[in-house]
Amino acid sequence: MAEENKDHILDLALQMGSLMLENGAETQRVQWTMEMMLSRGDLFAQSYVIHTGVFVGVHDSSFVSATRFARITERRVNLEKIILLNDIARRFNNNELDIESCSHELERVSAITDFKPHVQLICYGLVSMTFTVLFGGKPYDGFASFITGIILGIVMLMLSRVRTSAFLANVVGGSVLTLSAIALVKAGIGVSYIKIIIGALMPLVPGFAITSAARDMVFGDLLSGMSRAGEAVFMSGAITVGVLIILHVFTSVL
Amino acid sequence: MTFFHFVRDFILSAIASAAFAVLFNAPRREIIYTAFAGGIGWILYIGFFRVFEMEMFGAFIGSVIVAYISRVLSYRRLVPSTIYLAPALIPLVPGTEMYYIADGLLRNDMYYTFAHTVRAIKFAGAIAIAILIVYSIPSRYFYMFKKRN
Repeated sequence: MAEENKDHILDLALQMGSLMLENGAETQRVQWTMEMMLSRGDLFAQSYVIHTGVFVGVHDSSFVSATRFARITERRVNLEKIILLNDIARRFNNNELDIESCSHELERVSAITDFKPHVQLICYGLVSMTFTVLFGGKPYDGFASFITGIILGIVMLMLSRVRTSAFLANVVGGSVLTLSAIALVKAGIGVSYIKIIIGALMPLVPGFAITSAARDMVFGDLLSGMSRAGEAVFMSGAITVGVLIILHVFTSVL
Repeated sequence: MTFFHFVRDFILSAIASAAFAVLFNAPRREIIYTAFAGGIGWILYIGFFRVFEMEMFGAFIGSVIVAYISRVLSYRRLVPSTIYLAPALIPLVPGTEMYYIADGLLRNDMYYTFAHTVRAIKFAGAIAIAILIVYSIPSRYFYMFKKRN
């Protein structure tokens, strides 16, 4: 009974850790949550989390030990899930949840969906429009940028459905927004395509990767900090390539 | 830079941060605080940039204040501070440099490309150093903001 119980707690902690990491929690929070959950079952736990995987090893007082790891392939940002998972871990540690109900709660949280597609599209448009105006665009440019942002949002949502690589998604996103901005200026909506492109680039910037890289560095998780910073550089390189391809075609053909 | 510009910029950057919070799937009840923090960060940046011509210092101070507000709010509202920090810092992230780098590469102007690359690194570094400083403050200095029940 006792062995099975500890096995269950280990599985639960691993599931919790990988869910948190998939949804964009910082490394230190994942490590700390898993160790906190495992401390409930009279276990001595050490966890090691990097940007792409979760490792956890435990041993009990009779030196029976076990190690598990999980690789994370898909990374999204869902801040609401981080809050809910944090809350579940806290309740589990306060003995308010048993193992059965905790695993039910985890399934419930992992089934939560994102905001509705049309809300996301409007937000893509709003981000593009506001940054175009903030960086010195005229109101006409803001309107064109809103349309560009919505087109970009449609493409990004479609690409996330087919689960392509992040590099390709960013290259295609950069190309689509540049193409759309130039087409809109040619059609007479908007004046300066530079301002429209600058605004429409903002929904794609890896801002989350930069902030989490810095936060990982603070807590001494240098490996994940460096890999997140590398991810940010890689993503911005991909977007630059996308913009560059269309600008090159545009300037050499037209 | 008149008062009207500051108000307009505050509203626009608050909308941008709120929209980014939706893209990051932040819970609905926290979005208004994110918008406030994002507006404050941009206002500090643009104020230092336009009034005192201190661009990097403005980005640094803006990020420090945003990170500080995020930590205070996280103790006040009992949620992880990432919910406020990541969307509110987006206006200060050097996304515009990506266009200028592409433009410089296209025109084969290597000086221009390199200058803008360094500028992007400086911006990202200012944000990172601001986060490093604020998150290195021990948490006991934030307990006074904790909600009592």
